[in-house]
Amino acid sequence: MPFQLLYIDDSFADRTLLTEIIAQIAPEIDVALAENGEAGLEYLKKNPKPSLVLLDLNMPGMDGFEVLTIIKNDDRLKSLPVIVFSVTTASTHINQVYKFGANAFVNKSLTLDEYKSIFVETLRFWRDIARLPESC
Amino acid sequence: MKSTEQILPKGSANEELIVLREENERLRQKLSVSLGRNPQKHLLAESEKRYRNFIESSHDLIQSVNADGSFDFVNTAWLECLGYEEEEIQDLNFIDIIHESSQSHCMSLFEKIIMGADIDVVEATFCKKSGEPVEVSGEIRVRRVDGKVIATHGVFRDVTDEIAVQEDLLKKKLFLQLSQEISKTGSWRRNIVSGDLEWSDNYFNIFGYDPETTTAHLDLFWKHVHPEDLEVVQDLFQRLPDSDETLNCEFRIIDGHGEIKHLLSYTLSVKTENGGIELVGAFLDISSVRARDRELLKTLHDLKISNEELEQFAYVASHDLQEPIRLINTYASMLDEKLAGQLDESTARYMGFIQESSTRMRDLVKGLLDFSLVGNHKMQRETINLGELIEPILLNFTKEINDYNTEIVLNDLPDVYCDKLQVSRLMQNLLGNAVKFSRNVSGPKIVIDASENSAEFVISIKDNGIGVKDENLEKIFTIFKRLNSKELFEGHGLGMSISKKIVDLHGGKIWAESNFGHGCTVNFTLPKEV
Repeated sequence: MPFQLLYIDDSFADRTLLTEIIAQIAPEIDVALAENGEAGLEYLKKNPKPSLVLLDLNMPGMDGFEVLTIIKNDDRLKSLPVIVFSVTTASTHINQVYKFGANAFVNKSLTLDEYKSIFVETLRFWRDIARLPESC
Repeated sequence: MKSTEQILPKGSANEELIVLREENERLRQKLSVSLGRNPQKHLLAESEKRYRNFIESSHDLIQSVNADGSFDFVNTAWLECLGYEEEEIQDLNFIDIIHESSQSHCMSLFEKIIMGADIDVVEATFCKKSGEPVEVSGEIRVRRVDGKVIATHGVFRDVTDEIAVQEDLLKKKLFLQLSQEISKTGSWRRNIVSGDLEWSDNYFNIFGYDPETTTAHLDLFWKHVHPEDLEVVQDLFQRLPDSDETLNCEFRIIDGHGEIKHLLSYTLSVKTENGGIELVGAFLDISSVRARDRELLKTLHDLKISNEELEQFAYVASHDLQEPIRLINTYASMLDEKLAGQLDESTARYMGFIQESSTRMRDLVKGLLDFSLVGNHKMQRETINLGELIEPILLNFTKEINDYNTEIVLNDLPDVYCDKLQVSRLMQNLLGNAVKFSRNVSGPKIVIDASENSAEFVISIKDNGIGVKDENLEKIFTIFKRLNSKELFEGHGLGMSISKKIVDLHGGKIWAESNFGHGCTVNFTLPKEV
């Protein structure tokens, strides 16, 4: 199965940016986009096995913390690797993110070059280095 | 007798005549013996002597003045007091002994007395022979014959000293009153046994009463004590009689006009001579001080709120600004990539400006956000060794230090009392700058040193880099001058402003010394733990 990334973020600009960058650095990766928490969860109902979930925190309606909680409490979804990808730098938020069960926190305040190099590294880790849970 | 003998014939009638004659003679002799030469005058003389002694031994000034004003009689005390000899009296007139300040007063008094007015006490100022004034107090009686005034008798007492004492007392009273008025003080005393209660004039004033028309009364005091402070005051007065020390307290009154006043009260109980107890006290009207306090508190409160709002604003502004800036930045880069080679020279330049500006904006906003976040958390001070704090920070710069071959000299660093997080940040900034600015020099060297005085530690970070121009030495620390100058900003960013904020929060000072072209030393102080 090809490596699939689910990106949940309410910002169109951010979703476009990520799509562009992945297209450049790892065009073989399948990128699924969701424009808010509910849409993301809807997607996961039908496709519960993306390789990696990238989750923004700051979203209207259901925010990232809620989505994270739901995912990590759902038997079918809890083993999904979730990286919280947000602009916040507050240590309280970061601590909370881990408490709620996220696998990692990555800061979103990046220049284009930083974006690219971080994603190269991230994908390298999660695709090439870590062994992911097997699909049930 | 001889003529009678010759006329009458001898015989029995003669013999009776002779018997009568002899009887007459005998009676006459007896009379002359018993009455003396001037019998009434003798008694009179005795009596006069007694009165004269009385008058001469009196300390009072006694005088008898004739209708024309000349002196009929004056006593010894009169002569001594006014400094005259007895012989000089006959040439004197009553007017001569009256002091000019008292003359018109005495004249009108004299007229009244002549007219028959009954004047109890006469007060006047006499005049000594030397001209010196003598205050007298006494009485004058008029002696009339056939309705006509022929003389006045006066008895006077020299009251100069008494008057002086009274005047002094009055002056002191006025002095006390005035000093109490200007210091807004009131005082009182109360004898517990006799119940005797005295309030100073200003006590009445402060309580809103007229001292002339009001009587001091215990109920009057209690009536005006603020109901909320009643308990405290009652408790004090219960403890006071048995207490050896001054008991003080602050309480409010609602004065006679309904105004609330704050009083600072000092009270003491004093043992009197006859075994009684007297309570004494004074209070200050500190209403204006308390009003000022309230205003200050309000201002403080307002400032605090304003400060919080400003900090929030700075945070929100810089935080929320970061989003669009980030996107501008990244998409400008994306555009640049996508259109690479497709743009003519000028368009490419425009792209460059956009990217540059957005990058600068990004750094500005990030710096502002960092600055606003400093001091966001309550300071948690602890005693830590500065050397131990710096070591991990230096590790952060390992790469640069190796690349530039920077020599780091760490002299003995003391234990300081500070917020660990903030001072770590501070050292990160200062060391980062030192490393950055010395990188282009051959043999870059950074020396970290410390000294101390009784009040504080002085830490210095010295580099041998390019240094700072004299006119910029202060500017690098100020936030707004920093932001406006591209040159300064790109040089130091907001790092120095953030460093200053951290040092300020600790109550210290930060300053830079530099020899432009040869290096820069940044010094800061950290107050010692009190």
